[in-house]
Amino acid sequence: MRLFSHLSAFFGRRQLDREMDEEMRWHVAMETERNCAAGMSPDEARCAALRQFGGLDQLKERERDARGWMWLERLAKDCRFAVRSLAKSPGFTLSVVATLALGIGATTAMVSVARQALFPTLPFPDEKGLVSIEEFNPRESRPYPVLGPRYAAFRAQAKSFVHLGAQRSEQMNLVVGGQPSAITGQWVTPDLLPAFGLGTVLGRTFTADDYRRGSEGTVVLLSYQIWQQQFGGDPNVIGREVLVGENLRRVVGVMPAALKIWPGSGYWNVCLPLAEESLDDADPGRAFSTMVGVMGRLKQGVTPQQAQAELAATRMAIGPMSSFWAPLIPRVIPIREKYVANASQLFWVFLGAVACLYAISCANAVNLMLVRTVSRRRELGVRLALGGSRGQLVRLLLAESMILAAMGGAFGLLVAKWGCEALSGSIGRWLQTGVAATALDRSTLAFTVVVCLGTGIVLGLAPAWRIGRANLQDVLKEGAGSLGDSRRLQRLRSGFVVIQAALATMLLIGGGLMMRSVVRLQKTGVGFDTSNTYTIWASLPFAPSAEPFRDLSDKVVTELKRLPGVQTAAQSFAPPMKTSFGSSTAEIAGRPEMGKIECSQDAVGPEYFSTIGQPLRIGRGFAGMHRGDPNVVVINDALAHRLFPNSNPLGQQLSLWGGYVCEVIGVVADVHEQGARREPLPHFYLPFWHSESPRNRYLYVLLRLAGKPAMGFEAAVRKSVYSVDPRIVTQFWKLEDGSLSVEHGTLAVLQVMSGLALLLATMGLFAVMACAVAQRRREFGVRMALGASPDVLLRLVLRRGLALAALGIAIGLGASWGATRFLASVLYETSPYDPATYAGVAIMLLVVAAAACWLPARRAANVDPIAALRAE
Amino acid sequence: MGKIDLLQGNLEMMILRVLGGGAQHGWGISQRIHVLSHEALKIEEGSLYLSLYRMERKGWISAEWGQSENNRRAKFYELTKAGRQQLETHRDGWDRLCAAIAHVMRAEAPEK
Repeated sequence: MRLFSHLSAFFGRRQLDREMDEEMRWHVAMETERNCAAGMSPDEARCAALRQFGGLDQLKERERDARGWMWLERLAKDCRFAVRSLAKSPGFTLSVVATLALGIGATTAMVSVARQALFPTLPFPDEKGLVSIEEFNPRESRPYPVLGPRYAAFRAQAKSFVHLGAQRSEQMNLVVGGQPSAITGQWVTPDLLPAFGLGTVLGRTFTADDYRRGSEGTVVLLSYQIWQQQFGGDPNVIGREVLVGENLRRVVGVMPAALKIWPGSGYWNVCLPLAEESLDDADPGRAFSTMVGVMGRLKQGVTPQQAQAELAATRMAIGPMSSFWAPLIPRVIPIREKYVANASQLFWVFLGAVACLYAISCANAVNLMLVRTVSRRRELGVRLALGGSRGQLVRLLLAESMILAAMGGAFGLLVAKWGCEALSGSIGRWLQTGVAATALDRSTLAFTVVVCLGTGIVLGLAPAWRIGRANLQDVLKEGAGSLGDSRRLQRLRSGFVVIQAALATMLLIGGGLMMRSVVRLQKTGVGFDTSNTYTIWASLPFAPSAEPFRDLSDKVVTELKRLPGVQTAAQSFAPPMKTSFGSSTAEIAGRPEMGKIECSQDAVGPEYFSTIGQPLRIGRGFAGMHRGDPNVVVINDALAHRLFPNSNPLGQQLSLWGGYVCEVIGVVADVHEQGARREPLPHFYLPFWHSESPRNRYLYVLLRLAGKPAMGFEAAVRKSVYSVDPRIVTQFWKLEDGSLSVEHGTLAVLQVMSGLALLLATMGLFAVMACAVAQRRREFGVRMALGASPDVLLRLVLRRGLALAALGIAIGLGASWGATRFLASVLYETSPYDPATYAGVAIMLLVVAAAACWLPARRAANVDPIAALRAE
Repeated sequence: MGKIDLLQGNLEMMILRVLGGGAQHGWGISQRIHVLSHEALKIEEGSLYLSLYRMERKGWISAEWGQSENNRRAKFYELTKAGRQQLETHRDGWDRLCAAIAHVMRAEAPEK
């Protein structure tokens, strides 16, 4: 009620003022009349009436004050005044806003990305109890998917789950309106969608009938995103028939928009039913080649640890497993971990880094505010002398700082938007299993507003505190450029410079360590040449045997080699960095006592080694060989070393897994299959035509180009593959070291942060030194008049600036000593205390600091003593 | 007669008392107080109006524009229910205060 009357008073204030005026005028008129009646002249009567009444305007003013909306009007007035005052010094305003925009923008961007990386929002209505099950290899300390028969055993024996389902993702073609596009399909067993607890936004999910073996090929569920993109969100899509992969399927439903990322698989487009029986194949050869992702919902009260113990105790109906799979242990992890970015602890480091950057930008802005307050001391002093209360001055300063912070925040949002895009560009690959890092959502905006408010208060309080302590007489007596109290102020601002230098040092050391580490990783290399290579993933139409598959793939390779710019081309099932296919063994034929060596394998086209740039050590590759030649194999250094430590491997007979005997014809260099960080494994290569792979539908084709791919190269590739067989699905990969995405992402983030920090800290040092020189102009003039040479003055200023910087750097080095260990997990062959990096950063910062001080120092040295002394 | 200093509360009380006799405009109120105090009190119009506005905000009186006795537009103030209560409270309090102060002022000099 009271608030309402205040508000109505505020908005009806013109009306109220008018009425008040009228009433008082009437009163004066009545009084005048009475005075006239008492015998005064009209003029006299009016004067007496007015005198009697007291100051009309003052009265009105006091009444307005009392009405209660004064604070609002006062606020508006303060703001108007602050805007006018800021507009008068555009240089200052621009510097502060730019500094704050950088700080707030970087913080907002980082916080929004880190929030999504660390605490992603899950699409499931009930996250509790949802778990993912994977096979953990303790030796390599990495997880693998679950083998089909293992999953069947889990399902048959485990009692911990309400639902336990499997999934497999596959690249396939979706043809809508005659237009094919490559999409990701998720095959799911009947229990998987119920475990998720998700309904559909349109239509229905799969029924038991849909999952029956034989009818799996008839229906499809769409993701919300593909429904929007490919079908324009058409509500009549239900019942429509589309070509998915090789089957014409009826759309039965659309999944909720929230399920954008499929746990453990990333982006997805369609969902297809997978019969449970198809995973429990009686044929061990096929069964052991099916790998699935397993997910389930735990029964109430069952912990993941209990479920894990139970799964570890299950026994398979068929066996035995190869020595690769046997030692793996099932692990039950909460589904959330599938959404949290890997190496997510690094985001805490980034948050720390961005906090440093924010602190630097605030220190910079506060410094600029202080400089301005000093130059405004006269103005503020006069205001005090004319009766302005300290409260009013503080309010004015706060209004200014709030406006600056708000403007900084507004531009900061632009910076943040751009920053988010840049971040998802540099760490998008890293976050691909998590949530895309582009959105600035409502909670991020709220965060920015809070940051702005806080920044505004901090900015305003520092100068306001100075005003509160200032002595009125001193302020008025002193000239604007005199020393006096401002020496303490100078010390305060120097303190900020030291802090800035320290923080910048820390960020630069972080960036420097990361850079050193990535350079070392690149020097270690991966053992193959990724420049000018192009990788195509192709899904060939299903063939009952290996023969038509090989023929078709040969045709594709021949066709691709005709393309302009293509030098060589070769097939591969498992190029490095792509698929891990680790299950095989090798032993020397006829000498089982030498032991079996576990190794990974691939079957490759004749020109594979020259295409991927993998050097041949001895012997030869498969070039020039044909189908029907005797069985041959090429091994890598690691395998040669293990099998033939002291003899020449060429011409030796090997017995591979399954009793396949072949002759070693060459040894190639090792390749870091899983990235530079992992040791190369023993590996053998069979010629492509000898492969008896059951996965005879997918393959990679590697191309080596003469130079950078020409414009429209991908279209040309598609066209040429299409000309071989229109049913082939193609996708493009960049054969590069994706395993370093975390390192590259960390490097990119730290580089940008430390670059900005360096820039801001340099600006801060420059501003403080320039201001100090301006304030000491007179002193320099005196010194010069007394015979100091320009050089002496130059050195005086430089020494002071460098002393501040050096103090900051020293503190920063000490702090880094404690802080960089959080980076240790991503550093490669680089100590977190790497002396070269520490020294390099210190030297660089000193050089930059010297440069920042140079201009003010020159100005000090060029002071004209006569002019300096005459001024004032 | 010398000027008597009025406390804000006293002025408000007297305004309430005058309005207790019926609606009145600001000038009328000041005249009434002047007359009722046997011309001892001359209210400063500034404080009168400030008090009126304050009391209006407190909800003790309400204002309405009307015709004055000489047929001009004037703002008339009237007691509200809350104002009437306030008048009673003030009156009681005032009586007690006066009696108490009178006792003090007329008492014999205290023994030392």
